[in-house]
Amino acid sequence: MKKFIGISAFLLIIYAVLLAADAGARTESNHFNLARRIGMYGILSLGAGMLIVTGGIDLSIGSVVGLSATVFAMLLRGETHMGQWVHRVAARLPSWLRDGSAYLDKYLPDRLISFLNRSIDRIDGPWLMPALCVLSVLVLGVLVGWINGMLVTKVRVQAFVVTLCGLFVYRGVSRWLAEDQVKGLGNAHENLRDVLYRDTYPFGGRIFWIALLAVLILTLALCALRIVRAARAGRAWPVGSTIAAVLAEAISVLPVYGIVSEQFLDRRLVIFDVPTSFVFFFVIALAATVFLHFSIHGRYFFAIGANEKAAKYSGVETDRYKLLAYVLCSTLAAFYGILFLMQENSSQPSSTGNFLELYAIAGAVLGGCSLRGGEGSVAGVIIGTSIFVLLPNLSTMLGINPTLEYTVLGGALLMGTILDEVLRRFGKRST
Amino acid sequence: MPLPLLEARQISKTFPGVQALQDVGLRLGRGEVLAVVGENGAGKSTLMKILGGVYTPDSGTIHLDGKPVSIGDVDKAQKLGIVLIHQELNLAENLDIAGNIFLGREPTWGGPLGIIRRRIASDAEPILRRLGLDRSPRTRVADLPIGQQQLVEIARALSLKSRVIIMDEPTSSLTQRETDRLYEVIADLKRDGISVVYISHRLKEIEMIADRVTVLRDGRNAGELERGEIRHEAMVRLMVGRALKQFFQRNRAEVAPNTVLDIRGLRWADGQQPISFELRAGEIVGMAGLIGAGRTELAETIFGIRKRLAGDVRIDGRPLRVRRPREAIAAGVYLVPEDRRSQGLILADSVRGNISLPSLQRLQRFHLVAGRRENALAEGQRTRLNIRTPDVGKSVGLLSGGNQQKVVLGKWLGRNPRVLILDEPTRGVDVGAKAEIYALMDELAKSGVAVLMISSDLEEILGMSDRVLVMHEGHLAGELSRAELSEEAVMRLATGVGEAA
Repeated sequence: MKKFIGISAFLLIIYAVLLAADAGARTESNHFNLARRIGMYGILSLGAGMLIVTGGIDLSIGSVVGLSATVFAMLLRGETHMGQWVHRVAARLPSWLRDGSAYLDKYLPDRLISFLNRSIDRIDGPWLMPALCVLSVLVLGVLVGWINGMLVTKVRVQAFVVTLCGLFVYRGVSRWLAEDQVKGLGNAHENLRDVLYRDTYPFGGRIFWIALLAVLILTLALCALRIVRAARAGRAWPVGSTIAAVLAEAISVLPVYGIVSEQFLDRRLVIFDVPTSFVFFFVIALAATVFLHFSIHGRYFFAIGANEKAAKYSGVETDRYKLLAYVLCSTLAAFYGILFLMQENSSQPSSTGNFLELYAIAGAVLGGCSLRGGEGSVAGVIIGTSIFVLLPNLSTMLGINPTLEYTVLGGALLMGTILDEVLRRFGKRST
Repeated sequence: MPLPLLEARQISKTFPGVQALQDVGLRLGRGEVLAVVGENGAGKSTLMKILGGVYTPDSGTIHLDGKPVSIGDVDKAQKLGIVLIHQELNLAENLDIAGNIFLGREPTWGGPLGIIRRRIASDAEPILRRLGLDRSPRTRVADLPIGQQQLVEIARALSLKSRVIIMDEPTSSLTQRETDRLYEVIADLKRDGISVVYISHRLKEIEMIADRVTVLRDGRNAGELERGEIRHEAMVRLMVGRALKQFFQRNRAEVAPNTVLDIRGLRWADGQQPISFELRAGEIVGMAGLIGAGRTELAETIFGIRKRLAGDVRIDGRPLRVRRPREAIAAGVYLVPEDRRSQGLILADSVRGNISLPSLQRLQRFHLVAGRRENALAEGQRTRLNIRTPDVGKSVGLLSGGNQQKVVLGKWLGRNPRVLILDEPTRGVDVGAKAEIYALMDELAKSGVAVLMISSDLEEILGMSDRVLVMHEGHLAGELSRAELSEEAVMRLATGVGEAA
């Protein structure tokens, strides 16, 4: 908890300095960019974080991103047998499935239909084909995670070694599949890119704002309920995961929506658009919060990370849950690959995703996930990732040579870890 | 007493939320064996760690040879001649005996590494001989049984020219033979004028070897006993502040004839003799044997931790094919493992989280943890087992050994056991909690649970069992009924003497 408050304070400080440092930092476009990158890295860090909680590690994340982005591009272009197969399957599907909107017209309320039409009509041609491609890439992610997990749990090779090998193997596979050629989409699939990665979400910022507000109010209410219940039962103030969740959400809102941004200072109420990646991140983070902190499966994750033997002696299917953690991590990496291709419009098999595993792990660790396992939170990962995105922005705004970006990040991570250790020792001695 | 060698005066120490020691005093004469006893949480270990330099006291003074000294850290303590041997052995298992004895103090002069290793080996030899440890100094520590590893720790202490050796529960994992050997070593040390501070829960040992006993209770001095006064009841009275009547509460009822657990020809290792026995509802069956006789392995095989190579396990007549603990748990077969810190508990987690872990499947609603039901489960077990914690949300790691063990029991008692296997249920548990655990076992048996109690504590085996199975080197050496039960009979079987070959 102390750690969590520490990194929250750190995030607030760098955000405040960022706003104070430069007018350019206060603009809507800068906030938009930051949110986009928090969303992207956050998706990876959530996967890495959940895996780290179980005591695992995945060094192959970057290569999986590269592989899935490349394969996704090839599928969409109809290259390779797989891609052609997907096209053929899509063509053979019944027309009502291919032309979903027409079918739905009969049953859905008018307002929803017009809304759906606005989104779906952007896609011309068989819209199920791209959907199948997306699904295939996600299945690829599941498969890779399954292989990693099986090697760790059944063959009992160290996770570090398994995924280090994966880092090389999956990178090689993507280069081989693409014959080391850049795979781009050109002007094709503009509409898919519109849906999956248009800079602003087609549903519009307004809905997202409302959803966000609803979630915040809901968590606050939950928190209040717990406090009231504890007070009635005469128990101590529950400083639990609920408060952590509320804090994290409140904090994540600040940098993203530029509450203190120039428009706000001008006393104009502007509803900002929300980057697509951030919407995905937000939804995944919510799901991960429920999964990790409120479900029995999350309990098993923490139990395995804290003491695998004791978890096993308590009847937890340790191998199955570890496998699940690897699958989650790789699937989220594959999803990142999809978003990446949509953003960049092309994938370079030999370099796409390089070093991303380190970003993902660093974000999770900065957010309080212990590499020893059994420690960490979704809220922490959100904050850790935010720090990781804000810091380079700050250093640029402060006029620090951009070539020092990595040094700033590494230094911050090191300082955070040292500070945490010092605080821990200090706490042991004084309290 | 003449001028004591070591004296601690008015030592106080506070930890977060706990006054661990308050104005505690202790005197130790030259060549004296002083036993320090008290329930878990009474402050024995804290006091020893202060003497050994691990902790610094908040207030109070320590005098050596009548002169005040400040100990500060472990190094300083060792230079002063005070060495603490922890309950958990601190040995580098991959090094040889000599390497461990001189770890960190290897001679830095002369020759290539091989010569140094030979040199320290020859330095170690007289010390080993003195301790009667009949092993080459070049033996890897990992290859030694635990009892001999303990002797290596003592050898290390001797090589430091110690004047005071503090032993924290040295016999908790020793066999009877190793324990006897340790007593001889302590007698030798005494003769050489070395003082020993001896901590143990086994009061019988203390009756045998201690010259004087200092009793701690709730972080304060509760009294002292001189040589002539050292008796089991006297110590217990001072420890708990009252006499414990009926320590072993076994109210034997008629054991129902129906077999709950039936084991036929069970094997888990190659070349091991198959094991067969049965457990009936409502009986407590003791399982005795030396460390390494295979009792824990047997329990782990029944519970599904170890792979079963051959044999049949039946529960209530139905075959039970267990491949992992979860399947045993589903059938109502539960194990309280030997090492509660590494196998029984998640120390960083709360009392509640530990108790609910095996039962989460029942506490779920749409896969989410039903907080109120979880809390009710934990609170129920806390009340039933008298787990001393201010709040079930508190971390288990903060509890005393006895209360930790109650939490492990609480994990299973919330789920109606059919068969409960207890592996060393009272190891490192204080007297008060021991009595509570025995009462609980009795209650469980009365309610029809079949209890298998693995224990190296003979008093416990004799006091609680309706029937005793004795293992020796991986097979069942024999069975003793209540009438045949005696310490000698058990030891004969356990050491392989009384067996019909």
